[in-house]
Amino acid sequence: MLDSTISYETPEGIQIQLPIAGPLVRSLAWIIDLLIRGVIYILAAIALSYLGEVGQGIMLIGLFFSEWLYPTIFEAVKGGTPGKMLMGLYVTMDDGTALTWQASLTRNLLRVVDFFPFFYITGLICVLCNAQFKRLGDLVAGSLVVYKEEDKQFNSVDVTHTPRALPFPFSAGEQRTLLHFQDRQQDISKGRQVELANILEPVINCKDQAAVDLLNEYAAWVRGADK
Amino acid sequence: MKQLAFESKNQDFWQAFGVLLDQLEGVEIQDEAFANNWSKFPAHYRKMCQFLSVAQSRQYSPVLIDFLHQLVLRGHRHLYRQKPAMWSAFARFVTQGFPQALRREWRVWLISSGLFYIPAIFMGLMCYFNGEFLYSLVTYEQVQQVEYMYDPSNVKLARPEGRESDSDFMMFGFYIFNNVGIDFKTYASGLLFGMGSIFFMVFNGLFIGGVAGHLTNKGFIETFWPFVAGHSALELTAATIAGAAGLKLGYALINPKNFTRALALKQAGIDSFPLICGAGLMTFLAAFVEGFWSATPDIPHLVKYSVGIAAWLAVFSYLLLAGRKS
Repeated sequence: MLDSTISYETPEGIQIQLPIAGPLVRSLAWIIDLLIRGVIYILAAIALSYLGEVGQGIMLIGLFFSEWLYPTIFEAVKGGTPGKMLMGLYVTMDDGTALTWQASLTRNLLRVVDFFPFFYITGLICVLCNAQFKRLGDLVAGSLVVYKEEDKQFNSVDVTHTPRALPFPFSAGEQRTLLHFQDRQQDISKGRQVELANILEPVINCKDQAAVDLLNEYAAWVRGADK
Repeated sequence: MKQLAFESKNQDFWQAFGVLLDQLEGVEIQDEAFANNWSKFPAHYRKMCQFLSVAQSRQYSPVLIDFLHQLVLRGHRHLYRQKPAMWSAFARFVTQGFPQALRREWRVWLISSGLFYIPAIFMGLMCYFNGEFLYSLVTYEQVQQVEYMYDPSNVKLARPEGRESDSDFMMFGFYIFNNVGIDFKTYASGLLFGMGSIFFMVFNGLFIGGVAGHLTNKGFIETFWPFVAGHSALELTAATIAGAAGLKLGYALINPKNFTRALALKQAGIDSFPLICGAGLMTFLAAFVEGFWSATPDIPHLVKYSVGIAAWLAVFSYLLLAGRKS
């Protein structure tokens, strides 16, 4: 896999993969959050201007909470700020468990030093020097920003092809590649299917649509379809 | 077992587990079946882990493995979720956790107090004996502004009736935004090898000490000291604690001992967390006192001074005594 993922071994003895998010998508998420907060500030400022000095006091308290606690609360409760959720990201502990309140508060209090001296220069340098794309706040809090896994639905493929025994033993990895080829056929064009199947021409001695069909028959056999 | 047989044998279980996860995550409504099923969640999760490792070791197709992995990952997040009882944890933190943590870190607290009070006393004395010395630190305009605020002949301090509470509330908001924010910045900038925290501590010490000395020199005693007496204990002590938390982070970077720097930082984050939370809470309280008590006129100075001294005693006996065994 070329994706940048971190694997972590759980107490159950299996490896979970966490696809970590890079600086670009994270800065886009930050910009979305900035816009959301900007709009709220403007609306609040207009509404509170009718309240005079009390309104100014409320505005300052609101500013304090939104500057320091807006990301903290969203990340601890929802896993991500609205910006992160829109970009398909969420924050997790570096062992893949849900973010704790302590970690969420720590990483967001330290945001100001990642911002230092302007526009997250320190944070960016730290992210780029770090195999796990962690900014300083993430290092201290032990948190990770990762992509949210798509909600995958699984349906057994309808195997329409007659299974055909492999002409000679395929390695486990090769068998898996055959299965993957069959699983992905809804997603790739006919031309690309033929192109992929033709790579195997020296092995299976046929090409084009015949090769695609033959590979499907082998895959059906590997999968264990009935005759 | 071939993949198709494996799928048809276990698919119902996977679907049911997915529904259970949706219900746990709040995406789907928790119906009656959920009431019967959720207690079996850990066992079902472990069974899912087994399905995943079987599918991986038998080299089933990546689509199936991805699907199982996703279910396991979601389950992992739920099984190992920490759900602390927020209010009791908060009460325990205030009554025991925070003072205990501070006493554990007494060395950095001592250092950060020194970084604050030594410059403060130095600058205070210098400004007290020399009416021009404050100009070496801050600009003319700022000095003018500070003098204006505490000038006894200024009508603003003896506020007219009717606008008191409004103005108090605005200042209360400002104190929260500004003072708690400074605590947080002092903490965070400790990550710059401690330099940021040291800068904030020394600079604030010089500034606060300088202003106090300068105003005393000018003879604004009647307006300045009764005003700051009430909230000074909470606010100054909180500032030194925030500095201590920041120094803790910086020191982990400079001297990580037997750990990698990343690991030392993580540990310092855990150790300093109660300090910065406590400092934030104290400053938050100080904002209340500053906004609604310190600024209230018509209270005899003797009362204000007495409350100030009582506050210092209370803060220090809380920090030094609370949460001890006996």
